[in-house]
Amino acid sequence: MELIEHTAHDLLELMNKGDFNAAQVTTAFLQAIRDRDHRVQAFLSVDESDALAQAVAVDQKRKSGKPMGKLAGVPVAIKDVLCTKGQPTTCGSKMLQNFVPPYDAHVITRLREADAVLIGKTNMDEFAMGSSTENSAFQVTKNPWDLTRIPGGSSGGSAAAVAACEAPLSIGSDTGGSIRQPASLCGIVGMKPTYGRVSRFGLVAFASSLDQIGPFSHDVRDAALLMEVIAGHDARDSTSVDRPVPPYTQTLDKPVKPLTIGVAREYFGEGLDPEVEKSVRAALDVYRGLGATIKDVSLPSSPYAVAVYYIVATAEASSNLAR
Amino acid sequence: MALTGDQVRWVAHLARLEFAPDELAVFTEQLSRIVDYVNQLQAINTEGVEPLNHALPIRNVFRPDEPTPSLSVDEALSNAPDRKGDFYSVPAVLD
Repeated sequence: MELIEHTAHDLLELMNKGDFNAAQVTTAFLQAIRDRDHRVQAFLSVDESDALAQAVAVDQKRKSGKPMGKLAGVPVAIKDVLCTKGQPTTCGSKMLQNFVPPYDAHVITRLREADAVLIGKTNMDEFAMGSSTENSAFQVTKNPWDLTRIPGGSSGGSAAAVAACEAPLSIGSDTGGSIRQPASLCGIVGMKPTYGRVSRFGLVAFASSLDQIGPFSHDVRDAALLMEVIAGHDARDSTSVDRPVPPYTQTLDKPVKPLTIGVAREYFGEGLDPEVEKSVRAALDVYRGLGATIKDVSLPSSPYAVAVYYIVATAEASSNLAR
Repeated sequence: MALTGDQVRWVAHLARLEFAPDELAVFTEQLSRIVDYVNQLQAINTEGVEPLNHALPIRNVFRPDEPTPSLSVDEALSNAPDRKGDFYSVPAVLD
């Protein structure tokens, strides 16, 4: 298996054992970007010397015997909707093509504290408005599995980067599906955390009551690890929740019982693709097999959800982006 | 409920957008259909339903009213295309 195909937790183990150092790991991923990204177009900006300098600093920190952060030496790609101090943050828009934030988003600070290597900023639908990453003002990102297909959106660049092994982890944002849908289209793990779980400070807002920042990864263990790093209360986001962050990676192998999963019959109505239904029911069987109780429920207001979203999301977007 | 070209032109003006006549026709039709779609919400009875502010019961998130270090003026204005002293200089919006 090539170095770039490893999960983040594998890479951490390899670096802890001393098989590889952070500079070698970052070099391998930078090479992957050089080899592949002219075809995938996941990245809007990569500062190679800065990424390498971050990795070298991690190696020096390890040599000095200091305790290492949870993501020490692991490259993480960042959707260009998050402010990175001193580095361009365009939100996929020509309006911000020269914008260099004077501060880091909260999630960026947490990643730096965890000794992650921020490897580059990824492509997205302009201001997160889109579901295909075709609406970027700069470039169209391709699905690494089939370059004639979309990677999904709006976090298409972050999803494609992980799927193409250009980074083992990436960060996206999700308002109406913008992590979950591209993760699905690119065949990787993606998750929208519960609202309030991850601070939105430094996230260029689309719809403030819907936006959440979340992880992309090859497997659930990596997503859990990334969540442990980015989740948690932040006084600079008044909607962030002041509750302890569970040790997600510690509970992955615990039995799923007792868990009751409600399956809303409104979601299985007209318009549902038979292939999608098959996949969802297969997932429910997996949970049943693990001991979960599956319960039929009704959510009668479901048919109105899209219309409500169109009002809430657009009204909040127009307030946030007023200029 | 069809929107008129005048209504769409006014909204475009507020957004500082300019449309060619054929664009205006297309957008008038599309916006009318979107407004119609959203209008289905009128059928819902919301009498007695409390407005929802947050998915979780968070209220009145305050901090002590004490000044803390923040961005310097130069940092805050570092991306200003045009600057007058300590202010952003922008095109006039109000008459």
